[in-house]
Amino acid sequence: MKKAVVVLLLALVLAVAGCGKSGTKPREDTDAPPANPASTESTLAAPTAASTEAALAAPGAAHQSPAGVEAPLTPAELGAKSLEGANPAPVVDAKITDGGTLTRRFSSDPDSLNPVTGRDYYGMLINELVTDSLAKRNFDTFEYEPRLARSWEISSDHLSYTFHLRDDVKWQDGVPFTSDDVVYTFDRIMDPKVDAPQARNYFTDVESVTAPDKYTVVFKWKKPYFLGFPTCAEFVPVARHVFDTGVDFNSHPAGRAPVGNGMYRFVNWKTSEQITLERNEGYYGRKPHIKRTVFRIVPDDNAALLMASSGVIDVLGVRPDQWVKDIDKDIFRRDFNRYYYYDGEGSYGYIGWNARRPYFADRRVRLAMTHLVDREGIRRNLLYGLAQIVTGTFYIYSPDYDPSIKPWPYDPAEAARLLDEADWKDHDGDGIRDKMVDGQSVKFTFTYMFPAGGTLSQKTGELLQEQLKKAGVEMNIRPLEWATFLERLNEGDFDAVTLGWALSVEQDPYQLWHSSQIGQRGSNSVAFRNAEADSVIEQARVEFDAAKRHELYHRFDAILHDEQPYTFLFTTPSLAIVNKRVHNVVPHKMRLDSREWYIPAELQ
Amino acid sequence: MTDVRPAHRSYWGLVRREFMRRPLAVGALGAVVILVLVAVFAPYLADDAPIILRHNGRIYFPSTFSYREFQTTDWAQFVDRLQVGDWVLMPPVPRGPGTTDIAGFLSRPSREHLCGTDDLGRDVLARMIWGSRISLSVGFVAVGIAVLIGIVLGAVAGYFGGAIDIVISRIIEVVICFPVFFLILIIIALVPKMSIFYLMFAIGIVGWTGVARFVRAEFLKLRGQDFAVAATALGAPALRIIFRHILPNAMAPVLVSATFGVAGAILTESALSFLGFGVPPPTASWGSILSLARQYVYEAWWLTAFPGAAIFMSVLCYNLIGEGLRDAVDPRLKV
Amino acid sequence: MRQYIIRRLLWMVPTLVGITLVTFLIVQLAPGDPVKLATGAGGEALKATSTAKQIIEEQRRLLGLDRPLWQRYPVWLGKLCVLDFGTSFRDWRPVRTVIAERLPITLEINLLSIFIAYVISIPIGVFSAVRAGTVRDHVVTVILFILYSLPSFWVAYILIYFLAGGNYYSIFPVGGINSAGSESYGALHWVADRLWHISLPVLVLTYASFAGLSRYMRSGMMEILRQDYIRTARAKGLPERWVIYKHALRNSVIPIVTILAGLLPSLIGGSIITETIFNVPGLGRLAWEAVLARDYPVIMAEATITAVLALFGILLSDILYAVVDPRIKYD
Repeated sequence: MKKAVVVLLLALVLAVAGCGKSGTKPREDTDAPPANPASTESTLAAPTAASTEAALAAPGAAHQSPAGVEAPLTPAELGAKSLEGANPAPVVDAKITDGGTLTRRFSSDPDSLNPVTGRDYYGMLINELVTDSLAKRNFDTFEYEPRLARSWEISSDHLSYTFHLRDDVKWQDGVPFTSDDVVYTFDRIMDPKVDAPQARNYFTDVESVTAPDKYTVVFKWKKPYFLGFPTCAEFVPVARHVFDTGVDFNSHPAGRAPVGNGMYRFVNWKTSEQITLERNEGYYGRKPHIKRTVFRIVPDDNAALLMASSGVIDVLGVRPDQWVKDIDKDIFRRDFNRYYYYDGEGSYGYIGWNARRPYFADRRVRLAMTHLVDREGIRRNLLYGLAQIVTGTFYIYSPDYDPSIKPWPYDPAEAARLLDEADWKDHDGDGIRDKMVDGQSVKFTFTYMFPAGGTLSQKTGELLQEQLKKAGVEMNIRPLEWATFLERLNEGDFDAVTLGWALSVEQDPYQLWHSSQIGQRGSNSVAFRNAEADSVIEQARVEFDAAKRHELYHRFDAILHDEQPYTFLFTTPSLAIVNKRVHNVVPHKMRLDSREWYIPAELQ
Repeated sequence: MTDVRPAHRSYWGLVRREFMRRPLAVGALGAVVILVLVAVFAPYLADDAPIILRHNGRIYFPSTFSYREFQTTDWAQFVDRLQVGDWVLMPPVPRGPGTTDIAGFLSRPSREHLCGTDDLGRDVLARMIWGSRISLSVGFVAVGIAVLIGIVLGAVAGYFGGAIDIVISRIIEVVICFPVFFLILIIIALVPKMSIFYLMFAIGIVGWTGVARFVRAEFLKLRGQDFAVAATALGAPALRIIFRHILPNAMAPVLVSATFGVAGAILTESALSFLGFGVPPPTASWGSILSLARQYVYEAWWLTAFPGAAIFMSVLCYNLIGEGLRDAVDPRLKV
Repeated sequence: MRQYIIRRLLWMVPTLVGITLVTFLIVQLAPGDPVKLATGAGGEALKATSTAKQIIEEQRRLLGLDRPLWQRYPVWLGKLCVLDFGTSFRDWRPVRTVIAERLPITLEINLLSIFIAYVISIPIGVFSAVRAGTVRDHVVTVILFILYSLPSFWVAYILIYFLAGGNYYSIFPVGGINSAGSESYGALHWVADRLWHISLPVLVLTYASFAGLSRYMRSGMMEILRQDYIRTARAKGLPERWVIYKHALRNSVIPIVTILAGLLPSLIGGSIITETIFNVPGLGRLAWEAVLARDYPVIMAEATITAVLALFGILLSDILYAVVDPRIKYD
């Protein structure tokens, strides 16, 4: 027994010894780590960006393989390849046929189909098809076009918005739609017994909604606001005669079986199975060509993809890794077209640096952090190049976004220099930078928190952690369950946070960036405080000349870029596949518009 | 009697001798010992930093000690560009569990990465080796806590019966119905820094009820048996009867339970890290690799295969050890 | 015995109250506020206005969360006594309806799963015990442990890929619990359709338990087989089969009976992973979603039902012990 142990140990030593390695490069001073233990303030060796750059430089260079064997494609190459043939020109036949069934997918049931109380995205999607709003944006020009309202006027003081409704709109049970429905809906929203806190908050500055006659609605605001018109235009009414029956509004059965006035009629909702809609033959406007739309409820992404490949699902949104790998297979190339677009209601990700903390109060430190996140590397590799780095807080196709601002590059050397300049140096030689703050030595150790399950957030964090370690900063990563995370965020109890914000075509940066929104009262969770930004925001809120407003926001973009309260990350495109049997799919700037689609008779 | 055996043999000495006579159990114990050694010596098995480094004429041991001049050195690069006159002795797996390589993420097993890479390009074999530290601790400690509490409470309830049994049984019922997830949430919210101790504590604290019920049932059965009654008649104190006489007979289901408990701890840890309650990133654990595997089932089979194999080894080894123990402890099998 | 049962039933009431009180406290004291979650207070819109605070207060009142904890519990308990579980915070439907919607499919899958697990594990356990130490025993052990080590999500995806997705065979459907249009099926057709749909989920839920269950069976059986009375039976010349099934089996069932106690509450449980992958609208997913959204009424309802089942399960297994093993006496 003892002999065996000795033999084993010997074998171990020999095996390990076989891994010895000798140096082959001639001496180069720049490579040697400082070997002088006597210095009290060691200048931390700046890790070079060489290795990452090599990976990015020539695609394929990192993967040399013996001749004759296909080198596996780099992620960036995979991404580029996946975009080949994407967004094809729409197929239009001489004759357009109505009819057919289109099958789409939800990953979960909506919680409610009541447009007032419903909170989730899928509910909104269904309601968009079942009930029209007063006006709706054009997917290319972003201008509002009439829907339930055929025209509108805005008073010169921007306090009154008058909408003239069409007189030929009927609810799907035959009853005419009138301005009274709009007033009823507004009253319900404002009713504290109705479960609609978000909607109520949205209309908080609306003083009243009145109906001077059957087809006119007037929204009166308490103060002028440049987003006043979009807020009113997107108003979705519910039918008074359906809801006002003495049953509690929140639990009214019409919340699960909506009666709308839009281009599709609700047919049924089988929980966890599917929601079925049929074309509203009495629709006042241009009817869609496809007569039936079914939303299958499939929680699992992989299962959904399988169902698409077997022809059960026609339209599917896919994840980047599915887009690049799975749908590149023959079966998908043969049966599906692929589309990608930056949705006007998309989102962007960011890392927020809490300015209340000693580390991040200094702009130079925040900028250094930005220089340490290899955004381009992540974009090209982890996201397959299917994303854009954003530099500001607006939708990238919005005129408020300034595309001339270039993102700060990944530059660890510059980061080290900035940290040194901000006096964060390793005074005590433990490998972590520190600084005297209020007479006490503070180590640069912080926690990066994000909601558990956010894989990109986690990966970004782990990459950043590695870079920070080399730069002498210690970062702990803390995933938190969503509700707990929200609490910490709201209380401002964090060092660095990563999250995303939803976008819309037009936005008011007030809630996020104005100094009055710091703390419990607003969403300025990183405590960003800048007098010039405040004044720009305030001016823009009441600037009704679009061109001037865009200029103001460009100034705001520049301030954000300089101050780096966030390290802005990416906005990712929506990736969708649509079965080739669906014709006339036009890749608009903002989204795809299912109203234009049709299925030729022989493919129905 | 011409008995050549030494006159005095301790109880546990007897147990050990019996255990050693079972080759499978001994083999399994050996495997576990190796696993523990792997965990303890992880830095010498998989790391960027060399075990021995000769640089500028001086000898360093970067795996073992932390040197001021090398505090922020990127070892992977350093070893790559070694200068003439220097010499390194690298661990068998020459990369660490935290070294990312985003251009090479999710690559299949190859000469360079024997078990492939994960979603950030980190070497899976290195992460498995370092992950054994977490998985072993969580398994042993969590199950250890659970078994300890379970045996004590179950034995006391089953042996004494009456009011004690009523109270303990009610406690067991309350703990069975406890909202574990919320307990974990509260713990997480209160602690300043997430560490695996909380994880082990949480798993152990709610896992003892099964063991307790088994043990209680066995005690109810065995306390009326002749040998137990005899011991009482002989005046043996209750504690001695419980632990010395009855418990060895009641261990069988406990051992089976403990076996699967340790492997179950890995799976629980996987689920918890998926939700954000596991070891904080970037620490590797078998469970966290498994939770990653969920997203990449079809593309990255190696992410499932290796933790799965680790679970298999754990379950097999602990089960064999458990059975060996049970047989060794069984008084009826003594020659 | 009868006295014992009555005593236990009486004890159940305060125990249940204790359990629900503890659960109530812990759930509501845990971090996370359903009002803030529901109002999307992490989002941009809510806090920016003057009336936001007021709106949050109104919402709190609407959900009944404005009263202090010590008032809320008795109200909830009172409603519970008339089996009124309240309404869900998420979709305003009565919790009874929400749970009833998902109960049948959950029960079907779980009952089937338990049944199959026992039917397969017990014979395997006996087989292993009788041939303990032989090559066949070892082979069976290894196979079972391999099965146990396979993560359930992996098995689910593999099964779908090879048997359901259409890439290889399409024997089973990809998910769901009934085909479209199945309302118009005849009774027999409907049952067949349902079974066809739940075969894969049941398989995924069951395979891992073979290892554990058969191991318990085996170790219990081996205990018994060492006993003197078994040796006596064999010495008497009784056929081996008789010895095993008539004498040994009955007693080796004891540890399995304990497990039954743990299985009763799991009847209404469910694996979130399996339910998501196969799109089974079960109580597992419901419980999970309720927890994430802090939907207190649903959480409390499920916790209570689980507790009741657990208590009955424990009582049942204690009774069965005494029935099966005359050595066990309750006094």
